[in-house]
Amino acid sequence: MKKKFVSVLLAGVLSAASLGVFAACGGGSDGPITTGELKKDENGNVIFENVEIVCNTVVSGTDKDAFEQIVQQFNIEHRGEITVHSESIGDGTFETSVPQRISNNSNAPDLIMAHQKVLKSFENNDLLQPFDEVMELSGIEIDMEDYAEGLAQYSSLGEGDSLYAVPVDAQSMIVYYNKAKLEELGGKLPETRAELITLLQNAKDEYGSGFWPIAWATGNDYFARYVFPTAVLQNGGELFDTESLYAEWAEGENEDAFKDAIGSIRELIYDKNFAQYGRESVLEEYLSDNFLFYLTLPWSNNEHLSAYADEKGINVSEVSDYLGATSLSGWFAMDAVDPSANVVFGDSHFFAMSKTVQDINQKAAILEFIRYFTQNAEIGTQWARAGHVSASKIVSESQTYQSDSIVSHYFIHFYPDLDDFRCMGLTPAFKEVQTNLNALFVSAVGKSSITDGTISSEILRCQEEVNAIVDFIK
Amino acid sequence: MQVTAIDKKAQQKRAKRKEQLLAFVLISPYFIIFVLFTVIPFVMGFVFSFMQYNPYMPEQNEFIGLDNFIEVFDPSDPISQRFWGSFSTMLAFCAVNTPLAILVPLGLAYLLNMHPPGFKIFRAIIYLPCVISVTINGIIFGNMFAGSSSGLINAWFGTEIKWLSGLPWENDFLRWFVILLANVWTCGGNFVILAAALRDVPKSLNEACEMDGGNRWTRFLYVTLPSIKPAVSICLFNSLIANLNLYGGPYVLNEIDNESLLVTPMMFIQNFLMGGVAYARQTGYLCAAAIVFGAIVIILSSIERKAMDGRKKRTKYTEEYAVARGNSYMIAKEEKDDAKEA
Repeated sequence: MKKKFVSVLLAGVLSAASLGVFAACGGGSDGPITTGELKKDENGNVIFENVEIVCNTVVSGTDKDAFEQIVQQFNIEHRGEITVHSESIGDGTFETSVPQRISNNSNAPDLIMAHQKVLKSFENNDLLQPFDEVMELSGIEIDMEDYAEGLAQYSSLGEGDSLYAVPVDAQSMIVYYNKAKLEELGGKLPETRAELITLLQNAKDEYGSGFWPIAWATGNDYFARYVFPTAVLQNGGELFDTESLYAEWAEGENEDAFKDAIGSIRELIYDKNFAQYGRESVLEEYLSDNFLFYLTLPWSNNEHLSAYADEKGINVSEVSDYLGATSLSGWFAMDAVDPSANVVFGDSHFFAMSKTVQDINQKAAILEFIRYFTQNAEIGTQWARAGHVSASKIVSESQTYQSDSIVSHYFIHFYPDLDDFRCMGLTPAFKEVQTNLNALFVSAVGKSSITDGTISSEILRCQEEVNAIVDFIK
Repeated sequence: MQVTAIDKKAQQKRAKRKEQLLAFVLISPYFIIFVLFTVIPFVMGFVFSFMQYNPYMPEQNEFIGLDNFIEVFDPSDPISQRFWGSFSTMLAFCAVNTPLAILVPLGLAYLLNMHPPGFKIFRAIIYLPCVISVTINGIIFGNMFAGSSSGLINAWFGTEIKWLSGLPWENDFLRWFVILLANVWTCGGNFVILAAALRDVPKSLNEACEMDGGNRWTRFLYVTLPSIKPAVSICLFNSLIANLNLYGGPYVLNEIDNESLLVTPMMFIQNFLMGGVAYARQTGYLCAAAIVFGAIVIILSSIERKAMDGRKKRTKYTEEYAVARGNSYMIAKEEKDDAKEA
């Protein structure tokens, strides 16, 4: 009995003590600290001496090789000055492991390359620091005027005029078209939805069954992730209110935009029978030329071109005689003159600096690396060839970029105007927005027949799902 | 003479101390791991449940008393609604899978106890899936039943059935079927326990029952089942705990073919805790939810134990057996069984 009492007492004391310790943990977070001094030459350029920086990147898969190649090239060109150590952390664990590393300052990265959508949460939890101070001290300037407006708008992470994140690239669904078939149908790419419908109808009439005017795989997760939000935005919709962060999908004009988006996709699938629903791969149609437009993902561009070349028994360089590239601009806009009719929604990688970096030399080296990665035409071209269209105007307007065979034939056509490119934006609830857009897409587009009332209730249900989480994490 | 006795006592004491030290050394690896990965996280979680806690922003941490628990039990809170909603998933799974996790291995053990040809091979085959981890099990079944044509079952039959994905209210049956199949497939642990228990059933009892005109079913119901009750009880307890903590299987299946359509309480908590930095501010609430969930698991397990204890009644045959062997033998046996259960 006595022993039991002592155990209970001990547990109570332990819990109370722990409570006190943890409650007292609020020591107050210090803002970013800057230590050390910069050495400069007579021209005012920073002299780097064996500065090492660690970069955690979300890039994985085949793009990882391209990324590491660029890092290696940078290290060679900056031997004895700056060395970048990169570590790829998969999309699934990036959001948990990198914040923990930064927060504990254990194996913390100095630089992170993440998707735009996750950065607001990082900033909300004080895991990042702005570039402004180091830009001023080092004289290494990164001007957002040099980057596509559509992406540069997220660079402050909603913190006034500060520069927290530098856009690197853009990626969304890409569209190939069959050159021979298009030529037979008049040779003109559609600029509006009405022109698209007419062209697709002609293609359907001309080539009959077995031929799909649009070959797309709606079963692929990225379809709902990229194409459905594109349709919503092209119809003037908003994914969430930028002030309150709440989803307002079932309200007023926004509901109309969502309904138009759903209607525009349903029309192509069920009313006109131009495309299918539910397929996870349409590679068969692509390789057998049974398509007019074929949608896929930009990072598989090389594989697609190679597969097509193998199928036809030609060189990859000759594929451009058979396949052209175009974009989703205007495809879903019910109103062709809507200012957002040409918007394309997708993801974008951004560079940001961890709050753990204190040495001014490291901070300057980070800027130098970012400038190299995002403003060097050769590097931008290399990165674009791996499937990532450059966010930098310096790169995209360069001769090197524009004259590259792959970039000029394909990538510059996928999202022709990056000022019209949109990402998720600045919400910590991006996952819920994405998941519920996906759920809405499946529930509203997945069935061949559905009433307007059901669509409305689905929009409302998904909106409430998002807003519950917004309340939870706010 | 007296000195020798004291020496002997001291020697015994030293030997005992040495033995205790050895025991401590031997259990210390487990003990250290237990403290590091169970006790400390539990204490921390318990403490956090009374706090507004954000691991990334310690300056915002504060003691808020029972607020998190009040929120967990607030029926108007949509997140709490989801938390309690996830219990229906868990309970539905428990209701179906726990009996299956006993009946299927019991049936198999009963059949193999008749020693059909090749029974040793069958025994190995039935146990083998147990060696596989939950994750691998999920990956195997996830890929077998993947919705695309890359799924083995769909590839065999040339179909594109969405076994695991789709709307929660449309393809529930198929998804549950796959998860149940994956769980039943790994019933080898229970099978081994029940098979061993079946071997221990006294033949004389069966013979007595048979002489009284009892058929196979009667023998099973009145002799076999009461005799293996301790083993059934252990299996039931283990299966119930495992099913209440359902996480790995649905998690892997969700990852393979859809996102968070099957959410159990463990998944609800884990999805937010590991869901990224966006949910960091709600760590305290999630810890409170975990404490509540833990308490419910303890209550349900205790009810199960009590229910099993309450059924300790001798059947006609065990009673007669007791008379034949002497009551003291049966009492000793029951005590042994109780000790086994404990």
